[in-house]
Amino acid sequence: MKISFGKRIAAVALSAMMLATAFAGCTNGGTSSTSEGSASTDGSGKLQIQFWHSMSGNTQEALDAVVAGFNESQDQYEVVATNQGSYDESTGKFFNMANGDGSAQIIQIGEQNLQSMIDSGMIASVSDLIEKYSFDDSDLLEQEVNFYSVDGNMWAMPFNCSTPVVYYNKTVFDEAGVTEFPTTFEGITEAAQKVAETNDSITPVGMYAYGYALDQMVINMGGYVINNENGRAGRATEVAYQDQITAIYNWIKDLQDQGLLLNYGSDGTNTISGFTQQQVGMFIASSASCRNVIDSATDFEVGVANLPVPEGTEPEGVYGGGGALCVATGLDEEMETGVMEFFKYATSPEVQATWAVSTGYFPICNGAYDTDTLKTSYEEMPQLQVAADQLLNSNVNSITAGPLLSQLPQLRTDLQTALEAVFNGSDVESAVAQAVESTNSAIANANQGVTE
Amino acid sequence: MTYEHAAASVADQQAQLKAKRRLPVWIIYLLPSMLIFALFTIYPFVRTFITSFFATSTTGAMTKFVGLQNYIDLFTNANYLQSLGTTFLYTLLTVPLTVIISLLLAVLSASNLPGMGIFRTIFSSTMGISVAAGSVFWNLLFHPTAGLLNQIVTSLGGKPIGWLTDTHYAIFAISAVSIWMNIGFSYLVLMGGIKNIDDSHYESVEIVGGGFFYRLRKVTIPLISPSLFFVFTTSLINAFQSFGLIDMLTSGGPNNTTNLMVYKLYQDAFVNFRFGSASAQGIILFVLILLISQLQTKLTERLVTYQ
Repeated sequence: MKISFGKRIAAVALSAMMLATAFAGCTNGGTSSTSEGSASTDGSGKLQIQFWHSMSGNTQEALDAVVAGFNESQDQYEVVATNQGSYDESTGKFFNMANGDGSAQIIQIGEQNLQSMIDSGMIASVSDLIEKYSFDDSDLLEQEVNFYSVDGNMWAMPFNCSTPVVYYNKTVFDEAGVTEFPTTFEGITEAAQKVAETNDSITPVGMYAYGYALDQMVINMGGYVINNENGRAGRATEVAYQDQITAIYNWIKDLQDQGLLLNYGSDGTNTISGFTQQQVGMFIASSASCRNVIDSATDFEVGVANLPVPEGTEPEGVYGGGGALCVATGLDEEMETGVMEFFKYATSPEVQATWAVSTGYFPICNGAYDTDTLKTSYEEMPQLQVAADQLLNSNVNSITAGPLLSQLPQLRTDLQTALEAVFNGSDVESAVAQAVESTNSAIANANQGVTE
Repeated sequence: MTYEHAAASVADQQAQLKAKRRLPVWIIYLLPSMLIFALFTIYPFVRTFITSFFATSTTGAMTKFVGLQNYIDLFTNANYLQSLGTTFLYTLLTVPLTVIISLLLAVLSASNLPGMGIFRTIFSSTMGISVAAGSVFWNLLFHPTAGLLNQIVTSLGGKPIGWLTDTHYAIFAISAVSIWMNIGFSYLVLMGGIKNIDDSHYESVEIVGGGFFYRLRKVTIPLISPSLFFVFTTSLINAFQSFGLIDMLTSGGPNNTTNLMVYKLYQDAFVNFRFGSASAQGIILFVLILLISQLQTKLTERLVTYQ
């Protein structure tokens, strides 16, 4: 075997190049985290702020409009908004980037990611920034601040707020003689029976397993989702929702046994299309879809109502879920100033009002509710106001502060699984027991790795 | 041994000795790929292995050594055991059918009749469809109330079926989609195998007077056995690693009946941020696939003939 000298040289050169690029990659990653921010200016000298979000479809268009508005309003900063998948996916990527080069300075999270974000140590306290940059936070909704604060320290800037609500086909329910939409489980069952009697082409209730709605319903019934006062008095170690969730599942099972319910598995999109095509009469979903549902339902009137409670229970209210904006740690002053400027713009009344009207999220500052933009729109589409009122009328206490738990996604998955089991004929007690066990062991596993 | 031969072999030995003293040239050629392999496969693997013995923080940092606890927790967790069972069931449902159907299609469309190209294009077309696009398309067909499949069922007088929402149907619905998606690739490989068979073999069969099945059994299958073996092994590994369809169509539901191992692993790692447990699941999956492919190789080794 004889190899020409030229070939050998080529091979050596290739290997050397490989090594060089590999090492270059390493050193790059090592130094960038210290010099973050200072280098990221674009051609025009504007400081670029990376903003990761999870908005898609028409909400993404609305968000892009907010960002474009900010970029035009001043000439020092340029916010670059990129969709990074769902809240959970985006959070995972953020963790993997370890605040290195190319990571986000602002990241939008869902309420289920709050505890994980705090635990990661990768986000700055928004309360500290508010103080440092004399940001006026007096106008923010207290229900929102209540959720995103832990021990008086707010970790994320409220931005897009939504709560689960009941959507119903007003035309069909009116025809069945139900003019006032019921507020209780029993009332809805009765109304559903009436719809079934008057209309045989529609299943009265459509439902998909939606964990967020389930834990909000627990809160609304006055129960803690997890122990240690929803994880607010100390790190939660197990779930506490058993009584409420059993009542909710029993109600759903009863609807199903009477043939009044059609289940869509865990697919929200299919549920909405089933509703807009008048195959089901009502469903429960996030108010964020409100605008979309109303716009797609062309043949009938859409009604929106508060989450129901069992008869004799006073609704406690809901927690301010939806999304909020976290800030990465280790930013230099210039970058921090830019971030706070963006927050100031994004949480200002007029911007929040426009954002709310084009999506279905509702404003997170009180001032927005006095704007003409919102008032006119609420007059035209009173449905949009229902979700906002549900939150604004909520009590502010440790129950409606909402669950604070790194395993909240797991808790919701387990609740969904249990509901799917009920959909498929399993008895409520064993379904709940299974969910409790699965979530509790996940919490124990996760808490093991936490270093306080 | 003649004198010439002996001299040649001495020269050979000398050349070999000389080659040994030099830096082996093959290392230089292998280095680039070895480096990539080490960086992107071996390092993550070792890291996963180590992480599986730790409790982790939400960012994946190893915070506390817990020994085998992650493994013990998994094997006592009803959900995980169910997920294991589901994965085996899914593999059993998809792999044999995928191979059998694509073999049949390949045999049927192997002849050189005019117009065969159209069929070949159709049969291999699913190769060009991404999992995401395929899932969206099937999701529309499976829609509980507006889907085409249920419209057919109801027009025939049946009750609508919860294809993806009923615990009795979901795994079969997913398997059907999976078979449909994978046929394209298997078909193409098997077709390649069949096209490589020399015509003289078939001519011999004609002389003997054997029919279609005789030809299939005695010529086609033995001669494409390497392709069959390849398709079988890759399908098996693919089945164990299935993710996209589940993520797009059922999210593991209803009631965990389609919660395959990789989907559960993904959820635990990147949604719930329990990297320790997820790493343990990764290692278990690795061992499982290793064992099964070894077993398969041992069992089918004698059946595969290389020309």
